[in-house]
Amino acid sequence: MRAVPRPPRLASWLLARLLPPGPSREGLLGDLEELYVARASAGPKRAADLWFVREAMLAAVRRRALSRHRRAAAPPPTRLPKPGLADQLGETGREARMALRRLRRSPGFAVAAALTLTLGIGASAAVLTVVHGVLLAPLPYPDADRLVVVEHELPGFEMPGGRTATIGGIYAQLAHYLERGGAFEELGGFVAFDATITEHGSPQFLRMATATAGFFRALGLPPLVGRLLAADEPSPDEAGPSLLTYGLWAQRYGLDPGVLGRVVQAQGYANEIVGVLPRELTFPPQRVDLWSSLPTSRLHDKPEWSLTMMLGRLAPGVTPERAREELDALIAEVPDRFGGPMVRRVVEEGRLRAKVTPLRTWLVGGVERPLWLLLAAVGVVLAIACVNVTNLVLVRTEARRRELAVRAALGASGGQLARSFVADSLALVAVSAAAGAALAIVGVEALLRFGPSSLPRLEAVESGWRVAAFAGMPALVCLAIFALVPWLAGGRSAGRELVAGRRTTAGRAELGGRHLLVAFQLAMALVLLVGAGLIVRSFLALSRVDLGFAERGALTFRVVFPFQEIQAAGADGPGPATPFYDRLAERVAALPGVGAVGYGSCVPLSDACTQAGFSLRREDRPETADRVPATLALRVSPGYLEALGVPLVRGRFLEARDHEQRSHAVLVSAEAARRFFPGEDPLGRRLVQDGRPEWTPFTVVGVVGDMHHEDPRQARTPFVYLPVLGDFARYEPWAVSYVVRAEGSPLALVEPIRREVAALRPDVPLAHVDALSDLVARSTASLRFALWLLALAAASVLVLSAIGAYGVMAYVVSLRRNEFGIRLALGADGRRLRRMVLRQGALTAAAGLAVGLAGAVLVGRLLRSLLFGIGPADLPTYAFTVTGLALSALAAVYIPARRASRLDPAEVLRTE
Amino acid sequence: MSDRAFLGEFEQMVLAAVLRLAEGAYGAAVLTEIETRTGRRVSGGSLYVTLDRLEQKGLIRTRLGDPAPERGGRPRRYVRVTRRGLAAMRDVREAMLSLWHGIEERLEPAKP
Repeated sequence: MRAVPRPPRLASWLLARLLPPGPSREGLLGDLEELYVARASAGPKRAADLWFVREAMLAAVRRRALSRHRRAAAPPPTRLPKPGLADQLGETGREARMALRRLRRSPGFAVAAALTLTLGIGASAAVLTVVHGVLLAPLPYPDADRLVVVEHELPGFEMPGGRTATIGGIYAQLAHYLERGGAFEELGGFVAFDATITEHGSPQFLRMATATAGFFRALGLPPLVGRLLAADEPSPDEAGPSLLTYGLWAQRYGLDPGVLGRVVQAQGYANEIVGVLPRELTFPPQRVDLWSSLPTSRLHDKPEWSLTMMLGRLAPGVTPERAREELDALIAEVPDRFGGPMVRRVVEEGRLRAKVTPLRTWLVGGVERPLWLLLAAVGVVLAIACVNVTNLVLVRTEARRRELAVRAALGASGGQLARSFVADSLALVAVSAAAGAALAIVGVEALLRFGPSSLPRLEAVESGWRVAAFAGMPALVCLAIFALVPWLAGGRSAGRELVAGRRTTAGRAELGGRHLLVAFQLAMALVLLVGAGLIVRSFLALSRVDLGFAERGALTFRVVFPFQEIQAAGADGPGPATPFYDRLAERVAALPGVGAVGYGSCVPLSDACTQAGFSLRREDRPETADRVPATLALRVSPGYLEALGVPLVRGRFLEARDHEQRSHAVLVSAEAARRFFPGEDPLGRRLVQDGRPEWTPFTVVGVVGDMHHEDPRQARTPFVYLPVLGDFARYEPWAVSYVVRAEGSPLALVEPIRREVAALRPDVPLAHVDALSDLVARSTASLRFALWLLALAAASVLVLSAIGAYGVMAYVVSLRRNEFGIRLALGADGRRLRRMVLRQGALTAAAGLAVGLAGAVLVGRLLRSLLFGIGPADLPTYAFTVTGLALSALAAVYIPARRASRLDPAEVLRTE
Repeated sequence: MSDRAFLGEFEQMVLAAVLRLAEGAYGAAVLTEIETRTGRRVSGGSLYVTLDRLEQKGLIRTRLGDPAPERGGRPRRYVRVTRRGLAAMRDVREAMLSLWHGIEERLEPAKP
């Protein structure tokens, strides 16, 4: 027997939905199907299908004319007909309007919920924006995944704190890699340094770099104007060409495209501008303003000179690991090819090895973990906010029980009731999302303006209205939660309950669910509070670290002398720079309100300090150990350490006579004394530079206190303070940093100092003028910023969870009003009731805190790398936060408990 | 004679078909009857609109029968002409007969 043919499914389904319910529809649909079967059995199916579709269309067009909801003489159908599509759309609109009206009628709820959600959504959106920009946004270079940074580690040189010395590389390496390397499609390197440009008379301090042509080719960005540098163009001291960065072009040349061909006086050399780099080239973090050429010939001439950084583009299919292996193999060949004791020292004694890092990782690796943690923290805030609002919504759902039950009895389907929840949720979330987006926009603006400027890839963080897009995800999450939870909690059963006539008292499961929510909230709140507490304590510990110098009441600034004059004066005679530096120091010292003044190659905690290429050892001890203690060697003038406020431990400070007579007297820090001369008196001892027997040995004339040079979190570095001049330095330093101790406010000295500099050399600009205390503050800027954010999050979470706990307990009590009323009427003691409620609340809180404690321990472990001075299991933090949260939860629970005990039983029973 | 509105052409057809089918008058059957007897293609939609209108005017009464599996589980909508409906049909018949009286000759096809 052949199967009964069915009419086209789509057409019949559509028709069924479009027609208004009623006997007309049933009859028509049935007739059409019957007729279809007749036709399909008698003739070709296709003709029958066509006929059916035509009929369906004609009927659909006429649907308005078909009477609606006609009462049939037949008994009522056992199944309510489903509403048509048009009806459903109209319903949703009506629901939305009703939802808005409901919100307006309970402003307390609306405001509380909206504010909470705004906070949660806004914070999430802001952090999502930042995380997206910093960590996820693609780099602006073509095929950026193949870009890698090549660094080199020197495990043979012992560094304090067990770290490994890392350098960009030496010229010899780059030369060798360029000739023999195959793993790289392009490879280049550059050296960055301070410089001055002096055209048009007004000197400007800037950062300059010389780079090999391969560097720009590796990045792959075309120039904005003009051209890039070709291979082996002359270097700046040979009047070579230079490229402007976009920033410099805008700031000094006003975006004038006619800048090509103009000559810029950099460091005293005339360099022609041949191109402008695109705006995206804000890498590297060196903040270079002007680029010139580093010809390959220079790499061969000065093999032991250092590069700031090497960058390459891997050949297709080559992994960083393979590249590293190839480079390690090439390194072994370098000393033989280039010779020279310095090269050999670096490669063999330092045990130089390559390190190849993808560019993105290199740029953002350091902040990746803190940012994800921040995102997690803000996620916790959002979750707690959602839970709070969910509770509020659940309370409202209770109030709507009657309404919902009636609607269900009148025939509203599950779908319709669900729609009303969705409409409620939609109205609330829409308002909060809009406000939250606005909050996020403001927040991101504030971050970009006041946040730590050292955050990498800040330029990729969206700002303005695009931030609002990031509010979409948290808003959707909230929407889903609010629509689902009340629906699951009670909406479904509302109809049945009313029909069954049962009094609506709270079911066991539902109460349990509420308690679970509170416990969950408290757990999350505790985790966040502990995390924030740990970071706060770390910061406090950090700010108490003795840096080894007096940071208050001192001013620093940097001057750059035209290198061209220094070079022209030749290597062995007195140069022009040092007299200028000394004269300036004298004149500044003569200003009113000035104490000690000195200058040196750099100032602690500033960017200018790079590892100088010294590696000193005792004259009386030949090389024995594998590891050579590495020290930081600074060239300093007399007065420098005094101005910094570094204390003298033994011997004497450097004096003017040391400086003038080039006595090669040096000072060592206490840590250096411990390392070089453990248990001995260092005064009078001599130090020599490895591989440089022709240099006059240094004599130690004093021991000074230790100083933190880099990150205050690192262990103390051994310092050796060398004189400015001596046969160990071919040239005078062309850039020095001054430290000026002020008796009054340091910043008041800025103008007088500027005048002195201009009076001596109008073509030398003043740069990096800072109060020393500001310099120090900047070094902890990121930590402080994170601290603020976490404190904000912690405060919100504390408030929100307290509100949440209160809300739920109040609600739970209200659910059991009947029960309490009956009990009180039957003579129960109010106090016992209160204690019972308190006990329940306390149990819930305890459960939540217990879970939270476990979570906090885990989080503490994650945070370990960010902590300073305390361990992740820091007892005071835990004690403080647990106690605080427990107290606030108990307080929140106490109020409704008291209210329960004060219930008037008569009133309770009456109003039900 | 009353001044009730007269039945429309299609309405007459439907009522006539219902009367012809007597107990077996339901949607699909009426539609098929009209199509077979008059050769006029009728769409289900127009039939139902007319049925609703006739019911509203009180000229017919419909009821739903039992669900039948060959109709996708849907019931048949049976139609029955009311007394008013019969009266309306009589009026139409009288009107038509009176008007058509005497013009049979004109209606015969022209003789060759």
